Amino acid sequence: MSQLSPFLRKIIYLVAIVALLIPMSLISRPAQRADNVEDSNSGGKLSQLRDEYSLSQAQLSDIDPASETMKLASLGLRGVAVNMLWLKAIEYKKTENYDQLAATLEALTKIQPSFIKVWEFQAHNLAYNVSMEFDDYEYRYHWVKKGLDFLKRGIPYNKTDHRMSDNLGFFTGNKFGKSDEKESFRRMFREDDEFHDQMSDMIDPDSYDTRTYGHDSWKMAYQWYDYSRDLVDSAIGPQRISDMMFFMYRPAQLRNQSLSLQEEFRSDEIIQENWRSANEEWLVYGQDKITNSLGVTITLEGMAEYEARLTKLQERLDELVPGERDRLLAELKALANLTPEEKYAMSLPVDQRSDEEARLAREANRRLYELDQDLDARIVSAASDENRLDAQRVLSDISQVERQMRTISKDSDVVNYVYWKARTLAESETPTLLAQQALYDAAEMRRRSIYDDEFQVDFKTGEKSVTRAGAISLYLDAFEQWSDVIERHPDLRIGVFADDLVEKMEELQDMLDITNREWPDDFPMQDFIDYRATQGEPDDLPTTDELEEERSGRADDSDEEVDSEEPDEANKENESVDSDDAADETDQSDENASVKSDENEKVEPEASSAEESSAAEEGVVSDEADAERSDSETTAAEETSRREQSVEAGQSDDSTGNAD
Amino acid sequence: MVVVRFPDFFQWIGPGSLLFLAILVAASLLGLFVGYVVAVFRHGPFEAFYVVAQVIGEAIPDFLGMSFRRLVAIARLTAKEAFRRRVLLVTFAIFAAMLLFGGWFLNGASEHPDRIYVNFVMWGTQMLVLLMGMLVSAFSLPEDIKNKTIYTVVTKPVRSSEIVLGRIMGLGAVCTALLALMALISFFFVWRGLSHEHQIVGDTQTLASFVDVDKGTRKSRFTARRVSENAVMEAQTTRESGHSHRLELVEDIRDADSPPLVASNVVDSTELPGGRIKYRRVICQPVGGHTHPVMIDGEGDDARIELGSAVGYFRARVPVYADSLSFRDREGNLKDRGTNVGNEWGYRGYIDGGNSNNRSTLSRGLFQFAGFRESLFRRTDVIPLDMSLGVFRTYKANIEKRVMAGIEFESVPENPEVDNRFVSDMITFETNEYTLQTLPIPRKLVGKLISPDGTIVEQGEYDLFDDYAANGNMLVSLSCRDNGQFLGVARADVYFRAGDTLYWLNFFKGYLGIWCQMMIVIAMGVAFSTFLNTPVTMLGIVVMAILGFYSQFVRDLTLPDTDGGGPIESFVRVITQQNMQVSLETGIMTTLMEQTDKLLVTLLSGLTYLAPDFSQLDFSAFLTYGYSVDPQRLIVAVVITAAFIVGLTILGYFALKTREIAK
Repeated sequence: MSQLSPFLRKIIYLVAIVALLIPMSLISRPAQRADNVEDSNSGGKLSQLRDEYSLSQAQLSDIDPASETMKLASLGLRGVAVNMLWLKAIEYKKTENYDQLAATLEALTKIQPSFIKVWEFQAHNLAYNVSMEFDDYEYRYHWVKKGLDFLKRGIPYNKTDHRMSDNLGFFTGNKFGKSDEKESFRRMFREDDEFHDQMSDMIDPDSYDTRTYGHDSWKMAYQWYDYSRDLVDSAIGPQRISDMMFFMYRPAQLRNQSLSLQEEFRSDEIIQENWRSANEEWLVYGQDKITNSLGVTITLEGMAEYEARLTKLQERLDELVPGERDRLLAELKALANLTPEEKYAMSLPVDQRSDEEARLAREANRRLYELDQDLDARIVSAASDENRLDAQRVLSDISQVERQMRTISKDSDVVNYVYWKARTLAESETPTLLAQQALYDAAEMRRRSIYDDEFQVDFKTGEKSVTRAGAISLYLDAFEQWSDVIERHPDLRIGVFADDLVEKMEELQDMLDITNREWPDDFPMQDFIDYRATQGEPDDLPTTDELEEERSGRADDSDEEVDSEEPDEANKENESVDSDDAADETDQSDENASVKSDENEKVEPEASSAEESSAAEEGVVSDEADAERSDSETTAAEETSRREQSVEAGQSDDSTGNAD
Repeated sequence: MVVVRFPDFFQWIGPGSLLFLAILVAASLLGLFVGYVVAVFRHGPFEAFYVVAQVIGEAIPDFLGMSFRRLVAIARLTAKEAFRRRVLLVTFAIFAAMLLFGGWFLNGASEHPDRIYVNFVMWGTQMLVLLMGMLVSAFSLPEDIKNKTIYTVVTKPVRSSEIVLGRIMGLGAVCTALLALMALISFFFVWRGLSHEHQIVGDTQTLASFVDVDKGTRKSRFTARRVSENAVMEAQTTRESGHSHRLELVEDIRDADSPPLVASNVVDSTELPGGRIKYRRVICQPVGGHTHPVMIDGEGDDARIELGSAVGYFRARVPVYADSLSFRDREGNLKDRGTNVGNEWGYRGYIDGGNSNNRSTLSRGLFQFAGFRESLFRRTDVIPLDMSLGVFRTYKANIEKRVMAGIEFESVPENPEVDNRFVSDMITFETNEYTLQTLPIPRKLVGKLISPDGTIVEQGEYDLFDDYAANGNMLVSLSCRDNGQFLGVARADVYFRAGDTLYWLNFFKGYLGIWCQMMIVIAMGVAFSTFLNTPVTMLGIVVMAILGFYSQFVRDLTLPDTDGGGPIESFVRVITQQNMQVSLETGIMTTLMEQTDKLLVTLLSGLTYLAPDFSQLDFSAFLTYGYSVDPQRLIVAVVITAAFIVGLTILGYFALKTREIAK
């Protein structure tokens, strides 16, 4: 090789380097930022692309020196380091070395701080999987907080991504408010100033402080979702989930808060105020423009508007093809067997229908629609030649409106919009508040096992006055009030709310069983039970038909008994003893009750006589005892005990008799 | 702390020596064979025999004639040369940087910051020191040979064995000095990083800053957590190092002759009718394994309350472990392992709490103690029994109530068919999962003396050492007292605490483990560099170190019943795409393959012992969890290290003999 060739080679290399440097410089020239727009430039192509897609580290997050150092320290083997740390984390979790797991996660997130799923997965791991490994609920609470804190620390690294705060909202609400330990967790949460301090750099603790009740986890969840909304509304970051869910999360927290408070405390004006806020937020959600997965933009509250538009279009169609609709409807109605209520509801203008009437009209329309889905098309087909074109245009508009209505209806079902609208509205009304209070008081009395009323007997006049209502009476009173509430909001007859009421009714049923009483004939919410039965909601509560059947069965039995023989003394005694067995349980569970019912007297006359004596001293007797006595034969022992009690009360036998 | 090995030097040394000899013999035979083959190529088959015999013949006097003076001289020269290489300086600079910036990555607000800190310095030091050992040793000899400075040594009257061992000693000494410095700095780093103090939140540092405990709920007004049974008031400290403590004013009623052990936290005392005394004491509730001593200056409500520096982080507990752990199932049958509750990690066996149909479960965890003597314990009036139990619930039950456990002590007579045995009454207690809980066991325990036929001979109070463990053997029986729940235990989960040793001493014992690893790496580096060049030597060390760190995993691969079979079978499965559980077709080929695999696996299993098991030399867990490093472990570690140094010196000697420079 000649002497020149190496030299030439070097020259060629140099030229090639310079030639490559020019496009490289053009591509990767950094952007210059300045206060003055003229002095700024957007840099090379790479810089422009980074800007366009918000990919630069400074746009994604704050620059963390620790994180950057860790990335550099991995000497380009970031992937290997990440894998090793993940394996270590899994191993630590398996070997229950949770401190080391937390420390490993720290390192892991320093190496891949902008990978959202790492934060999500591991925060969930700490708050859900690790926390439940601990037997002590206080440790569980501690690890839930650790999970939340972990996730919160990821926000500065991903400050444009609302999924971080969404997850924080979800974890906060779900773990503190819905887990098995929710009662303990929420109690600790209220007092946990340390945690509130920890969160205060992002969420002001005052913002989730509920008057009288202190810090509330649901309200904190609300604040996290609010943070997400702000992020998206102020265009800092893109919205990454559907409108339907994204807009729903925030208002849903307020109703959850009200539900939890209602469960934990006796309802009051503050809880009512919370419900009101929940209702207002829910209605705002209903007004939000939502683009669903099919790309259709709707508002959940827009149904009424579309219904009105549909009516107008149909009227226009009827003008174009007069009389045809009535003729076809008459045919269909005959086929659909509409009830008079449904017919009436349908006859009303849309904006004048009550909730119940609107529902009836919808139901009737649905049936009619099923019978003939092409009603309007059939009307159009009957149009005269001169109106046919116009009629077809109207038909096209009708189809569009109907499509929109179907979309609203379907989307509304996804978030149970109508139910929650009715529920939040109902709960923010005073009758519901009073009904809730009544039910809470009744449940409290049940918890204390005081089922029967306590009353005082004035032995002179024979009058008795209730000194303390028992759980059964309180439940019945409460249901009286609930019946009014349900009447005002018939939409609530099906759903979670109704299920809760049914649960309470079942509690009443249990108490009635325990005290050997029958389901009241005039139960205030019997219509509610009957309605649910017709809607295929299988409750274990007696419907009117069942009650009547039972009654007629009993009447037949008693007729047969009367026909066959007169009951003798022995039979009567047997009957009374039989009924005692069932009542035993009542007396055992009724520890706090100051009064013993007379069933106990029959089983253990001697023991109960002493108890009755003491009860008589106070002049307190159970009304159930009273009722039972009039129904059954009085035994000799009972008579004796009554005499004793009259003597102690300083009353004559006659007056005792009067009292009874 | 997870402990799987409980070494006893005297039990270990027998099989350990045999293994060492076996490896030495096998390696010698292999060396002879390789040496002979090499010599055959150089000198022909007949002369090769004499050459090999000559080398071996010279080796014995060479080793026997080693001079300590010459060894020290070579070691000194090597040390000087190592200093000149600046590797040590670089290592120390990295270490310093690591500590300076380490705080960025350490979460002082974690549940157990002590563990994080100790782990960090131990791991960092270990990695740096092993890297340094590898670099200085791998470069040492090849560089000398390359620069021909080796001739200044080999031309002197020194033996090859002295060159190899001298280098190991020299490099070892330099690295040891650096390691010692690093250990010292690490100690102060940890100490400084963890020490902190708190103040009471409130206007004054007196009881005026305390509030009454909520008597109804018995939950703290500050944290809504449980308060102690006898707490009447509470306060909170300032937040330091990511945490705060809760202070409790407790009422401690005691007999006049048994005042509280710690008097410094007593606010005042009142004599009660009947002669008993009520002490009001302020207690600092522990957080993350530490608390603060409370000092009271003055008396009564105006007394000034001061909190001292953190205590509890720097502990070195001396555990007395059971010699064995066995289980009884629900029917009382003896089992080696407890019930499996489905955990992937099979470290703990579970004790069944019975179910509602079988309330009187006989399930027990039986800890058999041997050599249980009074002389082991610092205090003998009350003996702390430490426990870290696992809990498994089959149903939630009362979430706010912990699962109950019971413990009994039984004597183990020499002749159970004739001798009576002592059985204590059950002590029931509330478990606290994942927390080290201490149960103070009084020396005098109420119990029964039971004859072999099961009749109760007498009842009374018996001595733990003189009666229950009269012959040094005792059975501690643990049971779960909640139906439907399970308690998980491993052998190391229940132990008597003999006392605590000095923390700084334990810290340096922990670093002795790193020293052992470092010495083995240096010995490897020197030995390998006698016949390999630097990059290959480093690669060799890295491979051996990886094998050392994952030795258990590697040995598990060579177990005969490993899924997927041995190397050939695994290969066949890979290329034929058969998973590990599918049975292979029976036939001569399969049999042949399996038999060959058996042979290969045995060979591979033997080879795994050529790599050091670093887990036996790693004591970081002891420091991390606050346990004293058992002297038995230290001796075993040092002996293993010595064995490797001896073996590698021999290897290095023969390898060096084959090179021209040493002739």
